[in-house]
Amino acid sequence: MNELSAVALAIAWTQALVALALVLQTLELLWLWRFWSDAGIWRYAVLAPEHRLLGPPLRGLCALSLPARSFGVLLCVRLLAALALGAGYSSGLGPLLLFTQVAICVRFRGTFNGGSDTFSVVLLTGLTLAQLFPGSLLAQKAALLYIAVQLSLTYFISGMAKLQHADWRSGRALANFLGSGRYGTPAGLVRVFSGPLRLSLVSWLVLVFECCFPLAWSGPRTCLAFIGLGLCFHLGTWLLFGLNRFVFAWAAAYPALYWCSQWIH
Amino acid sequence: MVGGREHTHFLRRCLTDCGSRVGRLHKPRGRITKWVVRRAALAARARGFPREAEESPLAARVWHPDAVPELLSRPFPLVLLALLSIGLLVWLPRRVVPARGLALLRCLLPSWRFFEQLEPLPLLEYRVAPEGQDWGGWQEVTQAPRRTPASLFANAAGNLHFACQSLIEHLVVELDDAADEARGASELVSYRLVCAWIELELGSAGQATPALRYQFRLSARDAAPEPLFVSGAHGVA
Repeated sequence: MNELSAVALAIAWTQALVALALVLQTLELLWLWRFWSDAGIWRYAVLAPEHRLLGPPLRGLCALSLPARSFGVLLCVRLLAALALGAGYSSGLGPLLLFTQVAICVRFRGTFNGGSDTFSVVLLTGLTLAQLFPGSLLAQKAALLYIAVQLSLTYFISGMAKLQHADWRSGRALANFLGSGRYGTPAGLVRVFSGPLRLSLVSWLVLVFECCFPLAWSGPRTCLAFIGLGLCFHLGTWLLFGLNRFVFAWAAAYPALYWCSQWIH
Repeated sequence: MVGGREHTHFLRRCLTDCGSRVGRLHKPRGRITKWVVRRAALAARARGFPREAEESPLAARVWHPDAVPELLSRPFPLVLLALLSIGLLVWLPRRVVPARGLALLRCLLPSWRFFEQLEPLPLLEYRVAPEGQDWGGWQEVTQAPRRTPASLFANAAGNLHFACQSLIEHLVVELDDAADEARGASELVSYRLVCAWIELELGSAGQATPALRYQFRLSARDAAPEPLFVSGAHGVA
């Protein structure tokens, strides 16, 4: 496979997986319309005064797109755009989806689902770059590189941040998260991950995996191994903590990482 | 002045290394020598810059534009250096910059520090009092929904629960800020959103009547006797 085909294939896979992640996210938000409507929790009337902090142009954009009815339309447009992206259409969809992603984050005062929203912005920024310059091989490569670097940083920074806490190194932090009730961890899994030895072992497995993730760049085979471990890791975080959006958002970045591991050699 | 065998050696290097800074490191003096060097440079450029890199001094090789691809062909030392720098930055103590406008756009400024906050989130509880009656007992607003295999693909309830937990986090931070700024808690956006949340819960439970009053509190999960915050009494809007 020549370089051009490899880049095109990586972009196509990224687009398809991003589309899947966005469709699922949007359907969830549409399902929750009652909670962001004018009789819900995130009422526009309560949120609007805060949008003044963004300055006049952005405030105007918020007033246009974030009231309950407009926001519903925005989500429907996003759903259609994500479906079109998944079907292989790409021209102009990246910037549109990026705009809707940022609008959703502003609507929920920063993010609706934390890291998965932020990482969706990263994915869509990369795709926007690739779609704005469809004839430029350099832009396609830069898009894949940007996504892969950010993907590696998510694991590495997260791992390093955990490593500095003695509670993470001893396994106590994991025990606290599992037992806090905040994530609704099934009681059976809490029992499986009980005991200082098991907790410490699992914590260290997570720390080593996250801190060593940049090694995925060292070659395609190593990269595939890390991608496999990453999928297991995200399925584990869904089982333990219910973070389903992370599975799809992070999986969408793996084709870019795999292409980079080939390209760098 | 370069002369004799040294001169011959210098010219040979100019022929092979011309265009690089090697030529400039050995500044020729005298008009004839300068002319010879210029001719040699032109001839070498026409031949396509054959180079003997191993003869060049280190500084010339590092700073020469053609050395950049050579540097990039061995990126692992660079990557290692970048990772070490990032690791060091992650370990440095952080200072929170209060900027509410930027907080709305924080999805554009990723920090990637997942599961770093080790302190448990305070518990949000509310109680109600029908008109003319005493307050009932405190009850938790919401609990995490059960996990099912389908929630891998569609986890609306679970993600709503996480968004509500973030709302409690925002409330805690804004209450701290409000105390510093001597602002009333009930003016806070988070406070008003929590009120809307409780009213929605009351509506779902069929309890919402115009005469109903409610209040909420934040308390530590370790069953500390004193709550962290107790709201005023509100009527259902």
